[in-house]
Amino acid sequence: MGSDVRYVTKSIRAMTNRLQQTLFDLQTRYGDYAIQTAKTAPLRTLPTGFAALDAALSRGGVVCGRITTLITTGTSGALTVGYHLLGRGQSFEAFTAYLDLNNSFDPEYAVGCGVTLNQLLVIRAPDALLGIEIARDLALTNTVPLVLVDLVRLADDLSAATLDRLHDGVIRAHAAVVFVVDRLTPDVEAVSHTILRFERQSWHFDGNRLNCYESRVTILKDKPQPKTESVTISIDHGGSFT
Amino acid sequence: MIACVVMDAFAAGVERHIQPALNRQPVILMDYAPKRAKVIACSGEAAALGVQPGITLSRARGLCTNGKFIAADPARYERALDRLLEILWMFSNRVEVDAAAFPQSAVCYVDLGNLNAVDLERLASEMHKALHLRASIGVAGGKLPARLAAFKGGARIVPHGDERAFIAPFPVDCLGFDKESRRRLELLGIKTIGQYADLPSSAILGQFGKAGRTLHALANGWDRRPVTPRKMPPVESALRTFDDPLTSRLRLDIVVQKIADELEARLADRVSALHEMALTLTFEDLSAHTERLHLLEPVASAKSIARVIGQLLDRIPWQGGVMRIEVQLAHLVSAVPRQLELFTHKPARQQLIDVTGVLIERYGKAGFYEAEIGEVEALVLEKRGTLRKWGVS
Repeated sequence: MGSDVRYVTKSIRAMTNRLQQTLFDLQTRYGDYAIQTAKTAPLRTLPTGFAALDAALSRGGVVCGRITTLITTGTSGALTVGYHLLGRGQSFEAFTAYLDLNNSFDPEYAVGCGVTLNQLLVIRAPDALLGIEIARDLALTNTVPLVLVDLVRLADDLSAATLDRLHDGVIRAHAAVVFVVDRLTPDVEAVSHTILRFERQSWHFDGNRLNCYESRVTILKDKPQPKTESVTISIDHGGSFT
Repeated sequence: MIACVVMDAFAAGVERHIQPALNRQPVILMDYAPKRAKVIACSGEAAALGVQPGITLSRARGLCTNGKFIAADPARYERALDRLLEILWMFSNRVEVDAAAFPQSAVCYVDLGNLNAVDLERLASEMHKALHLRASIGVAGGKLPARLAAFKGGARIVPHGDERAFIAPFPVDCLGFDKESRRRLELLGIKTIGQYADLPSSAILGQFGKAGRTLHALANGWDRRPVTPRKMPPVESALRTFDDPLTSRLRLDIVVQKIADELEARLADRVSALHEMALTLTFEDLSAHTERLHLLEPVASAKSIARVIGQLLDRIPWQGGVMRIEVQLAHLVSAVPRQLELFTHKPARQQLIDVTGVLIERYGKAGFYEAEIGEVEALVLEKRGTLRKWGVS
């Protein structure tokens, strides 16, 4: 009996050694990040482009493989941040997707925010449910690092089951999904990893000409640390920021 | 008997069916290869102006200045061909596709055995109804007379024994001679198949060699070339009919689970997984409703199959009790694990085009676009940019 236990223990130890040696060989050959255990694999993030906001977020940006929700109160910079994220996601010739459920996509403004139109897939779905299904399937294919979903006035149309399906799909994939909503529903809140609320604070004029506006961004949810922190960002007329 | 089904300008017809606006102008389908863009297929109007598959873009533009040049989508034409074959397989499982003529034309030889005239008419009408394209059909004892009979348009039967007389008036070029043989035929003044057939065999061998002798046999109506059947794609289906109509979704779900278990076992026997599913429900009023779903990833387990059937059931509006449920699995792929590519060399755009193609098949109603800037600083949002269909150059 005792010899059997010793034999099994020895065999497991040999297997573990072999596995570690294989991992070491692969990491030597293809780099440290080529293969790693689930515990050590870090979540990838996409920076928003607003330094103050990135510094306030615990992971330094929007987390890939999770849902981020931006709450807008109308001309408060949420969609601008979304467009900036689309642009950031297009680095290394990657494509990003914009789910334009409100038919309100402004290509000129998007270009001002750093979006390359040749690398952008614009999707217009007849309803929000179908749009969310498309976003899930697109995320699961791992062909786009970011899907921006314009859900302004449409968040109420989404059922908890639909959002749960999307959430499960996004966790399995590596793509970041960013919602832009005008009001936070309990279902959207439940599936969101990060929630940011944008409120416009003031308009800035240069003489009679509107120059820029300032918005306060409040971090309502930011896993893993619960915190409520606010930062102020300034967005100019063309979509660039200070 | 062999039937030859010919659909001229097949690829152009498929494009026209999708975009009816193309009906008014010559259509030229291009393969925009990086080094040399060339014509893949064209419509009849463009062909009349001299455009033919294989010529370059610049030459095609010179020949047909008012033509509509479109990027060809070979996968779309293959799918259309599959639909044609599905109809032809209803009549015979021995169907051959002439690969050399595709996609400019769809030329299929069907080994009919002994088909009567009534069935022939049914074949023609079914095809026309299903594909919205005009097909001409020729039926004869051999491939060559059947093909030439199809050239006449409509449906035409060459009676057994009349093949030689039927093909005699056709130009000798229909036999497919090479360039040197065509030159010799011209010098000898031979213009029709009948004139060629009348030549003595010894002279044929001396002038045109062995290939000429084979063509001489064809010209005499001795066409014994068999139909090389195309492999039928594997499909699986399960069907349940109910004496008392099912009105409860719960009871239907139990039936669906049983169907899924049965299909899982059948797929396991074939070591296959499914990529496409079609569900047909027949209601009390005998109305039938079919829904299809193309899956991103193949599935084979009973749980997944039941889930997909459930998704399709959700799409079908209920019109009373269900009398019959039929599940068809198509596009079966091998379930044997395959080596994943560590470094894929497919460009990101091509990857996304492939994925979008699948999504368009799945969510036909949704629109996939790419944007371009319109009038800068226009007051109306719609004028600031335009959206054009994804993948259309």
